[in-house]
Amino acid sequence: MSEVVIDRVSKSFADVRALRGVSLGVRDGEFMTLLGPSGCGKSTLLRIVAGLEAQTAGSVSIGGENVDHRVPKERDVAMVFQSYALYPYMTVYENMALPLVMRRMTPAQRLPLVGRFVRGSAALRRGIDANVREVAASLAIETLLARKPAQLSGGQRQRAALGRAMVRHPKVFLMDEPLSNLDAKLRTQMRTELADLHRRLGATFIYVTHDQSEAMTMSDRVAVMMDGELLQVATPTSLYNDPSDLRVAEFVGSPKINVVPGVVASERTVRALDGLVAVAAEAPVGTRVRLGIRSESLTPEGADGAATFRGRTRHVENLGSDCYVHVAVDGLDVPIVARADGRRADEFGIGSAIGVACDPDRILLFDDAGKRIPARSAVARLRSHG
Amino acid sequence: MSRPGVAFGVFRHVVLLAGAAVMLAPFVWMVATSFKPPHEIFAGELTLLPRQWHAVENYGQAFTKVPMLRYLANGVFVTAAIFALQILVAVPCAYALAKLEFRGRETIFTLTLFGLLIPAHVPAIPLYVMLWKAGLLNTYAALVIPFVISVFGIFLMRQFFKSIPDELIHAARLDGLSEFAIVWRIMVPAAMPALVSFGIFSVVAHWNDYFWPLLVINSRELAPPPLGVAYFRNEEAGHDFGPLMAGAVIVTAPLVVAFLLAQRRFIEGMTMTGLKS
Repeated sequence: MSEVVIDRVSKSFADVRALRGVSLGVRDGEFMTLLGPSGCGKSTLLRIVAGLEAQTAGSVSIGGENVDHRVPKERDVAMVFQSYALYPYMTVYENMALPLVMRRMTPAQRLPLVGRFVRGSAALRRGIDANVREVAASLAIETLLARKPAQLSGGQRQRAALGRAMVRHPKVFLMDEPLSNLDAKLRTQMRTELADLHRRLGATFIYVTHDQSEAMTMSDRVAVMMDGELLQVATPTSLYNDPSDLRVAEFVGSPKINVVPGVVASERTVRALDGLVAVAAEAPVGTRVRLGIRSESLTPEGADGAATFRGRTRHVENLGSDCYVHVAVDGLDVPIVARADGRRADEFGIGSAIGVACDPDRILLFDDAGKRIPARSAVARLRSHG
Repeated sequence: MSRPGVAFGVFRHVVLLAGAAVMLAPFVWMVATSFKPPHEIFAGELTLLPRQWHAVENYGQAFTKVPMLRYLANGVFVTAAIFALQILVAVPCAYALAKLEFRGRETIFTLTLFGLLIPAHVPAIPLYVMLWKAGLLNTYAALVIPFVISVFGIFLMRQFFKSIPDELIHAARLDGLSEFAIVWRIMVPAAMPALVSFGIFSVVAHWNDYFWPLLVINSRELAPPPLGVAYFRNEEAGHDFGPLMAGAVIVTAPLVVAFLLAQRRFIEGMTMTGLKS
């Protein structure tokens, strides 16, 4: 078993608190993504799990055993780095063989030239060779084994780095933004490959990224971190549809969620800008709230209809399948973004008056501090004001 | 190219050629003199090539009157020993200062920088006294030990190691390499250009060193080349400049040859083209 338990881990650098008591349980065989903006402490947490950095407080256990006092080598974890961190003066083969050589062979057997005459070294070398070639074949890099990292493309280096991590069958794979240095097309392709690889190996993956689309597409669960704290740990689906914090809602999803200030108007309604929305907030009348509305819950329509929000079209992003209409609304600094079918893209004239209808069932309510306010299932009723 | 461009190009090359001539003239004269018989050396007129070749006699004397080969061997042994030990000390020190985190690291590095500011001649007398107390005067050890810790080497290697990404070291730790293995198997191969240029600085400085051997060496059989040439001048040659210049040529030649062979690596090291991931 190879579950990873992070228990109230804190880390302080000189005068910065990088991690503030983070607790997280990663199940055996799970693909867990640590998601957050740069500087949120996610990479620090990963390095603490690897043993490359020591935590200030708290403990880490892997496979039920406390590993706080073990050096990285003894933790049976492998890591893939953003820069790949392949040894530049070794071939791909030597890069991949090194972790096995260091683990399986004695110092005497490892000696250059002389080592091959030490008892047992030939058999060990053959075993290592077989392992390296097997992993290389599974990653389709057998033909690159004799090359140096400088002679490889970004994607090939990425595979070689994965190979070096896979070759010793570690309990846990730690990945620190491994796709960030690839171009956009290759990145999308590698996402699928990584998810496949995870299913094939059945090992525990802890994956660090600042890219919410990577987190959403590959993970079993996502842990969203901000300012050294864990905001929410959930499956991609519930993270997107049921965020516990406005910062999570804003970080996950593209385009960014629309945030509209409002006040609880009655037991069943919230006043947002000049519209009245049928949301039953579990909060006293008069409470100031913020409404988080995903663009797909908003539909652009005629200015005269029963629209919740009214404004003028500022910009239309046509992606082919969908189009996103940016609507400048009085009282809001940023335009509201509403989604429409891509075939409607030409309907919206820049600068013309437009209304936006809203599906009240899918509105997320947050209090002034950004915490989620539960909404009772609202009557799907929309009413315009004035 | 326009005319002012051509004019400037010519001017620039004239200046550079003049500079090169000033630098090279003493060497050319040294080589020319080593081929001349005594009466031509003291003749009133200046000629580059000798009218009467005296090279065999001069070089013959340089090799026979003093143990020139012995001096050269001493030089090779001493500079090689110094450089090997300098690497042994400087590389782990530089790694610690560049990549390990420990209390007082910055203070130690600052002290190292202070070390760079102290001229080699300042600690000469204390070092001499220490070697005398240790009974090591007039040995190879006296020529080697004072230079084993090269502050310059530590500084140079530390700067280069700084440019190597931490992730490489993290990967090595996860792969099971010890800190020493990281230093010698990961950092040193990556820092080859820096090591080569440090090697050139070190070898040139210690091959040419005259001051320190003069202080600590009495026996002729331990003398490195520059000291050997000096013995030659004082006792054997008198006013016989031909063999003396032949000796000087012999002493200088190995460095020139080594430079020509390593020129490409040397310039690589000077420009410090590091590794790009």
